[in-house]
Amino acid sequence: MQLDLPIFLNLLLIGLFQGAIYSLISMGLTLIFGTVRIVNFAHGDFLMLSGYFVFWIWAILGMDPLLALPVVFSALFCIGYLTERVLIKRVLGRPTHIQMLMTLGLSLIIQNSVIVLWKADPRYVHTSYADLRLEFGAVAVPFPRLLSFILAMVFALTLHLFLLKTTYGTAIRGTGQDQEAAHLMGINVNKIYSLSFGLGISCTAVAATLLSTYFPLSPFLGASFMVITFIVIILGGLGNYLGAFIAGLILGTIEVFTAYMLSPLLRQTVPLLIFILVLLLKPEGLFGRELRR
Amino acid sequence: MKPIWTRKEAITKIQGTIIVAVVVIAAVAGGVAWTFTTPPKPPQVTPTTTVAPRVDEVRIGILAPLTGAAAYFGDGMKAMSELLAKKINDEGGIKSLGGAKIRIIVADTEGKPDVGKTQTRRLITENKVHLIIGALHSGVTLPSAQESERYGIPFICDASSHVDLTRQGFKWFFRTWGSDAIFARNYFECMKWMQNKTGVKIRTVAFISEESLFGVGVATEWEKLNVDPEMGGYKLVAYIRHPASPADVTSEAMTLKAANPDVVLSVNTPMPDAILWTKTLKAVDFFPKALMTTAGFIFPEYISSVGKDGEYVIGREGWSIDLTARKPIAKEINDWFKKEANRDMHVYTMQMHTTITVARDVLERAASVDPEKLRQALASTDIAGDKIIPPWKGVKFDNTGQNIYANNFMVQLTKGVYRAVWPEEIATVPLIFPAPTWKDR
Repeated sequence: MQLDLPIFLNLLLIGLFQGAIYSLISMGLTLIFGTVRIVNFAHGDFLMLSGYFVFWIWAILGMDPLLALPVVFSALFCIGYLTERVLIKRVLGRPTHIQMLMTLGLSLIIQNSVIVLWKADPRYVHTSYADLRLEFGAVAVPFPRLLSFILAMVFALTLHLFLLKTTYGTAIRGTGQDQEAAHLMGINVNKIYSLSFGLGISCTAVAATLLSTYFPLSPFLGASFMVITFIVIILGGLGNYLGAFIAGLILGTIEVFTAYMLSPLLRQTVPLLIFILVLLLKPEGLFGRELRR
Repeated sequence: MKPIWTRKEAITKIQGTIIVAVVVIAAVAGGVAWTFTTPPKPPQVTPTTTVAPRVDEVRIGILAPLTGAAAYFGDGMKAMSELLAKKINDEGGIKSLGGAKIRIIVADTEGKPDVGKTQTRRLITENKVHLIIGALHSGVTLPSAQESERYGIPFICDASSHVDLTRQGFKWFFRTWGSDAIFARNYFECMKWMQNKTGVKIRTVAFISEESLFGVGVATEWEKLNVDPEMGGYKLVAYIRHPASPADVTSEAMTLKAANPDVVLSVNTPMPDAILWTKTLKAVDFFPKALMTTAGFIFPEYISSVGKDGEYVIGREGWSIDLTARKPIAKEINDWFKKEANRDMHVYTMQMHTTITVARDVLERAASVDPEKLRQALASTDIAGDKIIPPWKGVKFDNTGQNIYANNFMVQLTKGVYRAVWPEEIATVPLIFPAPTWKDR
């Protein structure tokens, strides 16, 4: 495929836009792993569930997804918080396979409940700005994508500031670094676990809201995003949310260029190859610190 | 170091005994199960010259998915088969068999190959069916037809389209429905007609296909047809293969836009993929002169999701309500079915009607329920087009068991409804070709 400047810029933008969504989903997943130390295999299903919340708020109340964002964010935060309280708490500190069964089971339950409740039909949210295209000379970008990119950046920055500047944020980071020390410092570690899980899940609410402005929803939505998300969090260094943020943008861009220049079939193959190379050469991930025991 | 079996912590005597016992029990149980579940050797069919015993009823086994993802379709197949049998019985049953009544026995395949196979065996050995009809999913039809072949019971396939089904050398298998190879031809036949009709030349084409058995199968047929100068001969400027359920297809759509084909042929089964493609083509501002699709694009939920962006999309169909305006029998059966079953027809209920119509004709001509006589009658089937709902010349099988007249027609999304546009005999609205660009809409 030939590559002139406008096409290059177009691909770069689309890659960054797509990457921003990966970043958001991955930041949530890595935040949960970094603090609670559990791999949440149901993450993609929370993403899908958020999407349905956005859809129903839009379909029933006619509310624009972006206006519904605070509602969906809060709802998913509560769901995440309670999930940790009721289910995840029971498997913390247990062998990995038990934790895996718990989150995989949760994934199946969420997915099948959605199928039973709302059927497997795809859903699409129609917004007034869905068809807007912004043209800068030969470079044209779909407005919903640009908007979701900007909002993703804003959210990532907010999350970063929250974790850096607030007491709760410091407590989350502290618990992630050393639970025991955090405990000794008077941090209620159990509460921080629930909080982190809730926060991690509500990242999917933001991603789903932004996605819903241009992507069709279905009960199987999670599957389209989860493979790449796991690559992103490992490349970013497990538990490192800033690493995940940057790795998401990089992988999104690589994916788009691969699909255009080589073949759409290699869309996921090239990121996987990079992933294997990184694991071989820098197993702690691109932005990970040295592995701790 | 001592060998592992002598070490104390490896295996104790009791554990060893238990393992041996389990293996022995499993072997015995397996042997017993095998003896009881292995089917008896299929009966050897010998042409009989003696007078056949009086037949009171003809049993037809229907393989349909009554549970699972395709249950909605299975329900319609069941309803149509039972209602149609009742109708035939009310009209006096099979006259050449002294008015023998048709009894329908529906078996649930759950859409699973192994279940389909077991159900076929059960229908033959327990229900003693004379004919089998089924089984919607190609993956279920294949093992079921193999089972039917073993026992020498005729199998009439109503709606599975995989090309390999009629390439197995089956003796007892007949398909009233078309194959993916036949349906692939329909696109090229329609393209030829489109050019003649409008005078607009098609020079370049592009294919989009998902990576699935169905997707690759269809796209491969298109490739073959395109290199045939009689059928295609268009310049293939892009061939986009992507995994099903992608997270994004923008680069694919940009590839398509850069290649700028006159016609795009697309095979995408999941509806979300069809929606994503439509929306992304709009986002990159590209729409070919004709976007010819199948599967994911032709469902009602696709239309409601994409809204007016779906206008001018062309789809391949076997059933359309438009047929009722063109064929008297389509209207008659559609009205009757709607009244009796209180539900709409779909392509699989239509095909159940076609297939039972064939079965009735075969039974009348065979005047027997002897499998070989039924098979011979099936092989010489020649039903006229006015007896069946689809817009075909009729039903006639070639030596592979394929109905040579089966085909599909093209529909185009016109003001939010898929309307028949090709072939001309059944068209209810004129085909719009070339389709306007996004900016001109």
